[in-house]
Amino acid sequence: MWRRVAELVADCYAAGLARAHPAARLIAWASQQLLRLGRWLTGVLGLPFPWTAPVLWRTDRGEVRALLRKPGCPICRHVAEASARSYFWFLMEGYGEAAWIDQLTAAGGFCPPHMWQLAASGLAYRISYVVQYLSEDLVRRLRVVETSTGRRQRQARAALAALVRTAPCPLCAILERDARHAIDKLVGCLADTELAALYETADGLCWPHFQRAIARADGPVLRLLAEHQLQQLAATERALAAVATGGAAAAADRPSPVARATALLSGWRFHHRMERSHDGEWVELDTV
Amino acid sequence: MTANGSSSTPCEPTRARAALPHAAEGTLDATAVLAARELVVVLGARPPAAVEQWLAARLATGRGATVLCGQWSDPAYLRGLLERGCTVYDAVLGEETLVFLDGQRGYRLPEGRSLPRAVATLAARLWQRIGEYVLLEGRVSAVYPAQGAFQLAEAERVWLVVKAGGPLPRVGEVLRVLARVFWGGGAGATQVFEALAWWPATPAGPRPPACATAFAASPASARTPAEAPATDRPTGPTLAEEARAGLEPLIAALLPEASTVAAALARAGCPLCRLVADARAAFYTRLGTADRAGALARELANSAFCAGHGWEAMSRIPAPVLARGLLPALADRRARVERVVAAVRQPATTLSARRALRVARAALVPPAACPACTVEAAVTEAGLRQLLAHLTPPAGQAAYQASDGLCVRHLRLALARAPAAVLRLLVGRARAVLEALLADIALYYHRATWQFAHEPKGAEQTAWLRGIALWAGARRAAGARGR
Repeated sequence: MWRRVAELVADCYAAGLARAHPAARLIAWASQQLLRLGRWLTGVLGLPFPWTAPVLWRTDRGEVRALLRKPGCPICRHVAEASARSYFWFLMEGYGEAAWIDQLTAAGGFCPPHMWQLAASGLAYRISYVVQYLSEDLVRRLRVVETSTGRRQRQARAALAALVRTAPCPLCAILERDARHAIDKLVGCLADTELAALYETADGLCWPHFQRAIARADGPVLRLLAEHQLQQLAATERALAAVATGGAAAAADRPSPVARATALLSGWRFHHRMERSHDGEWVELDTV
Repeated sequence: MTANGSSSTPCEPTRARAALPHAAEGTLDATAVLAARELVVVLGARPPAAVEQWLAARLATGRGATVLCGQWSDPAYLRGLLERGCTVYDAVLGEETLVFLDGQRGYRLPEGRSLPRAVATLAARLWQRIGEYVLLEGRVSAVYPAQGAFQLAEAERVWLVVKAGGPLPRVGEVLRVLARVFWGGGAGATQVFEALAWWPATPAGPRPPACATAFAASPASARTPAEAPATDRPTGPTLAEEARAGLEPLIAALLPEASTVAAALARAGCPLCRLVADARAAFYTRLGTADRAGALARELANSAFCAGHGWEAMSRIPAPVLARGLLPALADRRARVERVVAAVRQPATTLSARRALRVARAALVPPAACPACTVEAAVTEAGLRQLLAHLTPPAGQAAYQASDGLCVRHLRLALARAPAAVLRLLVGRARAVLEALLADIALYYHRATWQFAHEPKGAEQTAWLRGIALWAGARRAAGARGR
């Protein structure tokens, strides 16, 4: 009930503010004055004051601009780049660091797709080390379960529970955090008119990232995201209808309408072009 | 066979596409109903069979409809509508049956005459809504005879009340309940709904083809509070069962049997990974056949492949079939975004505009689970059950000792459920495999050093790949992350 009341109050305030209602204007003026007072007071005391107007940093704008100029969903591309970077640094130095070893033993290694992507680097010497410490830890745990089975029930149950329970894949957690940060950055930067214009010419977001972006956006950015997504969906639907009815005209397109629809609904996929001679360093990403 | 005597079905295009007798050419016909972005049906009585067929065809493509019910509210019929994805409201209505397309055009049934002021009429009918119908499913956890109410374990905050003097279900029964929610009733944590009818929620048996059934199940099969208890199931499949018919029988056909598990155990690698990979390949093959395109479309209308499976499906399913399957999903997403665009284009100066935006945003909910992931989970679950049963007798234990054993991912799942004897077997075998792997890795490092680099290389050179397979499962079963 409190959530509904809070929503109602927030809606009333937003609508009143948009309508320039005197009460809402008074509240907005009072909050501005409070912020000014707080900023002045903390300035006098030499303390930081975090509640300032959002600032678009030049580096953020540059990153978003670079992502929007390349094909595909900008967030999928960012995640793919972050994934390639993470593999590179893991294989360069992370695989032997205590922090990574702790995380990997707690999680029982990476998730299967990430484990096999790691194997695709072909760096047997380093991967063997990862497999070695994971296996040693598991053998130790299995011995504990084996020795406690049938004798001390409580201890056996605890050992088994510890063996069965695992943490999430550490690479998935890193990429999820990166994606969240990138979405916030994109939504913030789309308030800039130049980047908004660039977004209108880009491929737009895939559906999973669009859902998350729309939850964070408001006002003109929300409208831009929704209208652009609508255009993309309608265009893809038209092209896909031609394929479904047997039309082969779109076969020469790249990506094909089916690939485009898959990318739009499930997320874009990128191929990592790797250089084995440089220890798995990624060079660039190709859209599929 | 429809309940009002017609034997025509949505599978008969010649009859289904015919327009109503008094409708103007190209107005209220199958094409208009299928193409409409929004469809509102006001039920004063049961609509003509042709309209039912058009509605069924529309719902089969994953496009929804809004239905307003007044005095005429057959529980079995409403259940069918809800299971097929309609939003059904209770309203104060007369006996008129009307159809509105896109909120702009309206028709009076059964003759199909066009309504002169469709927008105003629709707005008036929508304002007459007083509640909503919902379907709840679960086990009866408590019955309160004095209050004439009961509760479901799966919806503990909901009290379901029956009409005064009406029979109540028994505790422990698993039911599907048609309930009415009045909007006037408070916004507290506990809600009181009116239970109108209920049916036993037992698994369905063999079903006739989807097109051979009408909207309503037999009215006699429903248990309403006013009637004597009846435990029989509604005759024929319900609409939701028809809608799910694309995937559920497919999953059932893919579940491994005991002989399959034994055969997988005799081959190299983790047996569960092998079962999952084979089932996934069979899933794509079956979806790829042309007659499954409809099932794929129905399944994907409200869900989507995850990133990995989406790209895998693209490489395994023929493009035209997949394109037909993805079209309803795209249409569904487009309709949702259209709602957001319509809401965001309104000036944000009114409370209703803010509410519309909030509702439209909430409609962008994450879709249902990826169908391929659902298949994988079902096959893993069934395979694990079969495997644990297979490992209980000595012959099964000997076969497992001779096999490569489970990968670590599946081993953890098996350990969590295994009985004591099987647990010892699983732990012992896993430890032996891991110790052999560690010995190989030690030998690999030994031969990788400068002093011993001249020694002949052997199987230890691939120990790292075997280690990956042991920890992550088979490459075929792991799938692709997609990014």
